[in-house]
Order: sequence, then structure tokens, then C-alpha cells
Amino acid sequence: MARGISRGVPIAIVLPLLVSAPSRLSGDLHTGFPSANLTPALLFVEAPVTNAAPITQRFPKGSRLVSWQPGQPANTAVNLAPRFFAAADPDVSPSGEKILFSAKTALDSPWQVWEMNSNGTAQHQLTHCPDNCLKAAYLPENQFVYTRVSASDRESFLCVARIDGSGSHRITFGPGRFQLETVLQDGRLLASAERSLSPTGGGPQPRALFTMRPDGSGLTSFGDNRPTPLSQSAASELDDGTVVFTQREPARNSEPGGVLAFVRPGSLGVTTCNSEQPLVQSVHEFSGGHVLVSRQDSASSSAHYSAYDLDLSGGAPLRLIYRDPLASVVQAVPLRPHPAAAAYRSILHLERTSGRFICLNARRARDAKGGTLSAAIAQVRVFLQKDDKGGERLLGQAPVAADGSFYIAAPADRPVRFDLVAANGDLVASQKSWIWVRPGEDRGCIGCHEDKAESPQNHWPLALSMPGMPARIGLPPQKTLH
Amino acid sequence: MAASLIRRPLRTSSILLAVFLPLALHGAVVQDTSDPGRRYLSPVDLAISPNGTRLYVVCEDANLVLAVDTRSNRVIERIAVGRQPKAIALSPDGNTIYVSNELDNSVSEIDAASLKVRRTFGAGWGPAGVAAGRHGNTLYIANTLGNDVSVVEAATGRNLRSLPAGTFPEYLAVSPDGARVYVSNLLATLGRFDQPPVSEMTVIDAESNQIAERIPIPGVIQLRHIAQVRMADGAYLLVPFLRPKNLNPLVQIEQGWYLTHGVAVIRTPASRRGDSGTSRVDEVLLDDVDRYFADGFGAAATSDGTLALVTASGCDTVSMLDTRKLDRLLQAVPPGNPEALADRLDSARRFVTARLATGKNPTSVVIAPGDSLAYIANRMDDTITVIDLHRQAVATTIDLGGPRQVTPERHGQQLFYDATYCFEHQMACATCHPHQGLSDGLAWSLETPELGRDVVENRTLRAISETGPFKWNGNNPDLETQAGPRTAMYIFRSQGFSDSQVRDLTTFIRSLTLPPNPRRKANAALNEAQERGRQIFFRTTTNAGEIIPPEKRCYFCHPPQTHYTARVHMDVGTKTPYDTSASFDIPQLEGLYMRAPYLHNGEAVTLEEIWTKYSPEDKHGITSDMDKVQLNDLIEFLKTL
Repeated sequence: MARGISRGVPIAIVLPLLVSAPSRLSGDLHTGFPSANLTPALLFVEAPVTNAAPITQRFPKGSRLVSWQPGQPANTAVNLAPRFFAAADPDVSPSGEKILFSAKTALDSPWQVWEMNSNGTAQHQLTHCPDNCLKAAYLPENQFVYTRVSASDRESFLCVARIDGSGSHRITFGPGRFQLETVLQDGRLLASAERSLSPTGGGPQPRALFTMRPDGSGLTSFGDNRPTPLSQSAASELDDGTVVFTQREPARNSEPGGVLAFVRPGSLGVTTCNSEQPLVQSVHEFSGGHVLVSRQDSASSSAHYSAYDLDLSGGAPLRLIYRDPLASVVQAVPLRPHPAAAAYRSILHLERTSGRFICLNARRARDAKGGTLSAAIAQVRVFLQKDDKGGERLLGQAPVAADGSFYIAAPADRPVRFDLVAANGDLVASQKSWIWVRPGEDRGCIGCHEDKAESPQNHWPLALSMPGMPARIGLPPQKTLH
Repeated sequence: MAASLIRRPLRTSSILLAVFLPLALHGAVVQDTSDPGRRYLSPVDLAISPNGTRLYVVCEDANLVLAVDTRSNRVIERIAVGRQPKAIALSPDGNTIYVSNELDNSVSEIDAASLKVRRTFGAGWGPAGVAAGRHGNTLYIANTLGNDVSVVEAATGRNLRSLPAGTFPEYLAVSPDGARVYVSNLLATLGRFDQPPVSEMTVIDAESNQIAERIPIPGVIQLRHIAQVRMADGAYLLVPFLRPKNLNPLVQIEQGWYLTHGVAVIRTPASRRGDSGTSRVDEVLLDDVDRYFADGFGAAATSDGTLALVTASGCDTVSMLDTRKLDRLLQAVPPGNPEALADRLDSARRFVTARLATGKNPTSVVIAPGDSLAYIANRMDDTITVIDLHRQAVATTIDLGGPRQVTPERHGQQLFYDATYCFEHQMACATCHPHQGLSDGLAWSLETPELGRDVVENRTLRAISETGPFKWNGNNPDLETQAGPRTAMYIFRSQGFSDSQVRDLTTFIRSLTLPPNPRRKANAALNEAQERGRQIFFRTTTNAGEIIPPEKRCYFCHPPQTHYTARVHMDVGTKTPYDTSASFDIPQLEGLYMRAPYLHNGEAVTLEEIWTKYSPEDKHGITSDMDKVQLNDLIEFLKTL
């Protein structure tokens, strides 16, 4: 077994130096927590070393999942999962009574998803992946969602299973190494994925945020999706609907932290905090506009992170909550009940092998002058991802109606992308990302990369009235109802 | 940023509701409706006295007008009026209060000093909005079901004339100079079912009492209260609307795919100094990219025109609009394209300065003289939210004294108006079934196995409890199926209602009834034309004396014993190339008078078109032998049902 941090007994006894005594820390440690009863206990992860990627090797020297009551001495912190080489990714159930977490028993063993009571008892394994299962979160109606990562780290996708671990099924299909970020209050999943079309076998690519329904339908970029080289991850939703996350430049891709950024409700644009500030590795709702952040103690202490209370409005000074001089403190979350995300009732037909795309007006494009492509579009070509090395093949093409609409049926659960082609065969626009349609899903698009602040016109798409629609792309012919 | 954050003060009424709601949900609470004092109030309209010391509150479910002392915020008088009072107006001197009684087709005239009803006089059919002319001599009444405006002599209550409005006129406003009366129409002008709706703002010349202009408002329905915003170069009207996307296949809800909510900004020639051109209309949304402010209802502006308030009745919110910023936004839009901004979900952030939490289901809003306070009527929790306009914050909440208990039916009513059960709060049940369960008059491309096919007309929720199965294909056996999983999956695209909520919601829906039909005499006797029409309806032979096969007789599919529906589906030859099935649920005929357009896709604009345009082979009953007079008689009878 690789050498890791000690485990098996309460931290304060075995590793007294890992949890600093109050006297050795800033006096801010307890400020603001006059009564332990008024402040929820915190869960966090302590790790001597934290890496940026790959996700399966975030904690090469191990990690542990710790519970600590603010206002209490630091040595009262308890290692909730001491038998593991590494434990991470705590997600508290809406009742506050259960915790989902990821753990592995040795450096070279796979991550699995576990559940336990909030006091660390009744630990039981939910996944039994031959590769890695990690970064899980509770879903309504006794389900959970998690990230599954291949042993080689080449592939990563999301799965949903019943809370007993049964019935696991994959819900993301494109390249880009999807990872779960969080479950939004409205019931959608917030995930991150590499936005590039380049082969996934290379090094880490910039990640972007996406939303989707818990059945994998409705994949949509989050925010305004303006082209940016910044990599977005560590996302979380605050009580008011603000989504907070970290962004980092490509040059800093090797670092686990990033600059704090957020998208406010009602907005598509990303607001970024001062890039000169120390980096942040994780962020989570705390209370009343404050967030729990795992943050560098200073911009120069590159590898070491502690837990802080940050007022996002800037009204209150940054306050240290917990620091361990020998380990970084990351993924801090309050251990308390919270509202459950809204349930989503899927309308997929999993017995089917195809889904449909209806685009209302392919000429609508955010980056075109006036939001509309000037060139006439005659056809849409559909490409299928052939392999994870960037290969693709033409699956077929379909007519685009005079109003810019097209209507096609395509194989379900297969990554596809579209090219728009003029009557003379010239390429008008090319999709830069892969999407999929789930079995029986009717996937609507207002345009092709249209402005996300644009709601559709009230218009009966001509493509729906064209003979032979939907065009069956990559599917056996079928008699239509028309 | 501030515009997106809703400030929610803790309110006593919320606490009370939380305490009593569990009690109600266990089914033990029954409202005593025999005593008006025990009925839910459901405040829907407001007026404030010229000196600002009295607030008058129209309570539609209690048949009351309440007088509130604005200094103490206490109810000082409860005035009994007619059934389902809907709207209120004051005479210019403030001495007389007019209240429309929608179910009684009347207007109550109240002495503002004594707070006693002086008299009640007749109005048109289904009166709602009411307004007094500038000099107080004339009263204007919007008659919803009559589709007209009554011009009434205030001194005598005599109807001077009726002016045809648009479809379902609901609210009125008189221009500050008294020269114009503006009428907002709830439903779109009847037109082709496969084209976007067009609504109408009707303008009356108050001098001649003639229609001065019919301003088309493209792409929207449900024009509500009218605010008049004073600007340096004149004034404009600000009217909440709903912008449906009923022609799109409704495959998703994100990005305003189903519908959006906003305001029409209307500059009439009369409202622009020195301008004799045509009216200019601009449409702008109040929604944000990820949060909708469903069911705009009340609208008011400060006297200096700098601030306007618009309530989102489905989201318990009032939006505060900086009208100067709104004006600057619209000035950048070239004229002649009213929909240039109509689909932008990022406009509101440029002129909405605050979103404030109100009580449940905010309807009307008024601004007190002095522009310091605004009052908002919250229909579903019997309260008034008082807004401090200087701080743009809730100052207090006035409890009007409605029953504390929440019955299952009342809870269902609250759910009916609540858009927060829908993804991003885009719609409530009431969004597509406005004015207590009407149809919105649109054909929707909803939940269709083949996109673009099987587009069907929305149907009324009134008096439907014994008319199942439901939907035009008859696939939903009961209201619970319709309001439960189906609504969650295909309409709200969210969690939807729990089982107990569905029970309460359907209890409320079953309580919805048809208004009294003025075409039917109190003794149920028919006039001559109606009687002739009745005989045609029940005829067994053609004009030529040939026996009509039973299945071709009107009453075969529309038997009177079961609300004039056989409760099965039938092929009557109305299948279009875009319908998968030729067989459609037979609609009940009761309430036909208030249900245009007709047929499963709403393509028949009039009843006569059903037989003369869409039944060329007499598949919809034998009707081709009838002459115009007979068809008219048949229609006269059908409209008595």
C-alpha cells in the first residue's frame, strides 16, 4: 500500500499536528462562531497534496473526510472514514442525516461511491466499478448521480443509479470527459466537460460548464458560453441561485485552484473575482451571501489551501475558518439539512433507438451580424463521432427549409455534430462541440449557437410540413405518418 | 444584479398560512359560504381616494368592497355588492365609487362618504373594468363576455350605447385629459389558428363616444391593466401581456420556449404632443434568462412618470421599472417593428430596478397620491402589500381579515394561480386558463408524438367535472391524470404537484362554473328563434322529409342528459393533413356562447363555419339542407346552453 496519511482513529490523537490548535492559528479561527449550536458542523477534506488532474489522482498522498464543529477545539475534528486511503467529495442529503462520498482503499485501487450516516456510522458501498466511480450527489426520489472515470482516465461520463446502487445507467455520451459538479435546485445537473473537439487522450483541456436533465436529455452550455480559454470547474449553487465556480487560465492548468467566478440569477455573463487574489479550489454555500471557500492562504502559498468564510458582496472581511499546516483543507460543506432539488419526471422512451432534433432556424447564430447568418442554408450534414481520437464520419444530411428549420431523427446516445451547407456545397457554419439525443428525446434548438438570451419566435417550422420528415439520419428507413 | 434578487420580508400572513395549511390538507376544513364574512376575500382590484386616506378593495370571492383607512391600515367598512365584483373606479371628485359585478351584469354605485350602496344599475354581459370619464358624467364598462364597452350616463345609469371592443375586454383607463378611453382585451382577435395571435387595444374617443382606433398588438394575448406613464414629450401606455409560442412544437421549456411575459408600450397619437401619426407599439419582456415573471396583471405609474410597477401574479412578485431607462431602450429601436425586442430575455435587466416579493397572487396595484406608497392586492392570501416607493421595499402587509383556514378548494385555487411549480416559473394553470379557467383561445402544438401534428385548441376548465374523458383525443380519463403527472412531464417540465396537491387542485377546477347566460331567460323559456333552433337540434328529418340517420342527428353526439356530450370520440370529418387521428372527443355544448373558436384545432371562427366550411360532406351532422335562417336559429339555440 502506498504511503498515505494515517487513518483509523480520531485525527486529534494520531495526527495532532494536522489539526492546528487554536493557539497556533489566527485568532480568527473561532470568531463569528459564538455558539456551536448556532453554526452547523462542517465537513471537509484534508489532504497533504492536492493535484489538478486527473481527477482520480487528486490526492496522491491520500485524503480524509473530516467533521468539525466550528467553535470547538480543532482537536475535536473527527475523521469520518478512517479506513480509506483517500476519501473526498462529500454531499449531504437533504435531511442532513446521510452523506455520499467517494473513497478508495489504496493509492492504486479504484474510487467508489459510499454512503454513511452523518456521524460516520453505517458506511456502505454503493458502486462497484471496475474503474472509478466518484463525485456523487443525491437526486430526488432515492437516486444519486455520479461520475465514472475509466482506469486510464481517457473517458469520463455521468451515471445515475438508485440509492442502493442498483439500476446504474449512463446518461452522458459525448467526448469531453464529463464530470458532475452539482445538482441544481431546479433539478438539472451541472456538469463540466472539456469543450475542445480535440482527442481526449491528451492532457487536460479547458473545461466548460453544462446543464442537463437527470436523464441526460437537454444538454446545454451553461451561461453565455462565449469562447474562452479559461477552464471552469468546482461549481456549486448558492441558495439564491447564483452558481459559483473556479476559472483558471490554460497556463495554470496544472494547479488545482482557480479564480473565483460566478453567474448571478437572471444573468448569462460570468463575473470574475480579482485574478490577483489567492486561488480557490472549492466553494460552497455557507449562509446569507457568504460562501465556504478552500483558498490559498496567500497568493504565494501555491500548494496549501485552508477553509475560509468569504462574503461574496465584499461587505465583510475574509475570515479563516480552519487551517492545517500539514494539509490542505478542501471541499468544505456545512453538515445540515437543505432543500431537496426538484424532481424531474423523464419523458424519454428508453426502448427506442433514436431521438429527434428540431431546429427552428439554423440561420440564427449569436456571432453573425444581426444574429442571423447571411448565407442561405440548403442542407445540414450530420457527423458521428467515430472514436475518441477525434475521428468522425458523415452520417447523412437533411434539407433545411426556407425558414431555416430542419427536423431529423438520429441514433440515440451517440455523439453527433452538425455542419450547415449552402446549396453550392459551401460550408456555412460548423458545430464545434458534440451533442447527443437520448432515446425518444425531442431535442429543440432555436438556432445554431444562437444568443441564449433569445427566446424563439412563435412560428410553425416549415420543416415539420416537408414530406419525409423527420429525415432519418443513420437510421433504417421507416414509413412516416405523412 | 439587484434586479434579479427578490426581497422577501417575513409576513405574519405567511406564518399563519403555514400554521393552518397542514390542517387544511387533512381535509377537515370546510368554508362556511353562507356568511359573506366567512368567505375568502380574494382582492382583485383597488382604488384610492384623491386624498390618499382611503383604499377601496374589491373582493371577488366575498362579494364585498372593503374600505381601508390608510393611516391605520385597518379595514373600516365592508360593503356588500353584487356577485363576483371585479373592478372599481372612482368619480373624478372621489365622491362616488363604481364597482362592476361580473356575475350579475351590473354596477354598484357607492357613496364614498357614507360607504353605502346608492343604487345598482345594469351593465353588459360580464362587466369587468370600469372607468369614469373626466367630468364624471360618463361611465365606461368593459363587458368581457359581451365583447363590448357600455357607455353609461352616470347620473341615470342609462346605457347610452355599446361599442364593440376586441375579444374579452377586461380593463379600461381614461387618459389624463379625458379625451380617450383605452380598453385592454384579454384574448386575441379571432384569426387563423396557425398564425401568431394579435391582440387589440381599443381606443374610444370620449368626445364622440366612437371607436377612435383599434391598435393591434402582435404576437401577444392577455392584455391586462393599463398604466399611463407621463413623459416629457407626452405619455405612453404600459400594459402587461403574455407572449405565447403556441405554434412551435413544445419539445422543451428552457429559453422561453413555451411563453414569455412582458409589457406593451403604446404611444398613441393623442398621447404624443404634436403628433398626428399612427400609434407606435413596442413590446419588451419582463422575464430574465432563467427566471420568468409569469402572468403580468396589475400596472401603475407614479404621477411624474419615473417609476412603473407591474405585478407578476403567478410569481408573487412586483417588478419596479425605471421608465426613463425603458424609454432609452426603446428609443434605440427603429419604429415600425414592435417585436424588435419582444423575444429578448435580457432586456429587463436594463430597466427593472427591483423585484419585490408580494403576497400570494398579486393582481391590481395602485399608487397613492404623493407617489410615496403603492398598494398591491394579493388575491390568494387576502392581503395588501404596501410598497415604499422611495426605498423600493415592502413597507408592510395589511391583513384584510379573510378566513384563516385553508380549505382543499382554496388550496387548489392557490395552486391554480401559482407558477412556481413550473420550471423557472414560466407558467401556472391560470396562464393558459385565464379569468377563472377560460381557454386562452389558442391552438397549441403540445405533447404530440409527431412534431407539428395534432395541434389542438386549448379547452375551457369551466363546468367540466362531468364531461370526461379529457383532451381532444379523449386519452385522459380524469382530471387527476391531466393535472398530475401529465402536467409535470409535458407542461411544467418540473416536479409538478404532489398527489395531495392534485386532489386539491382538481377540487378547485371542479368548482369552476359557467356564468349566468343572459341569452337564457330566468324561467328557461326560449324565444321564437331559440325555439326554432331547438327543434332543428332535435330534428329527425331533413327539410325534404328524409329520415336523418340517428348518428347524424345533433343530439346523438350531444345528448342533453350528459351536458350535451356523448363523452366519446367521433369522426366528424374535421381531420386535417396534420392530424394523426380523424376521431376527436365530442365537446360539451354547455357554455358554447363563450368558447369561440371552435373544432379541435380552433379553425372555425364562428359556429356557422362548423357546418358551412368544415363539414362539406355532412359528416358533422346533416346540416347542408339548412338555409341561413335555420342555421341562425340553430346557433341561437346553441348559445342558450
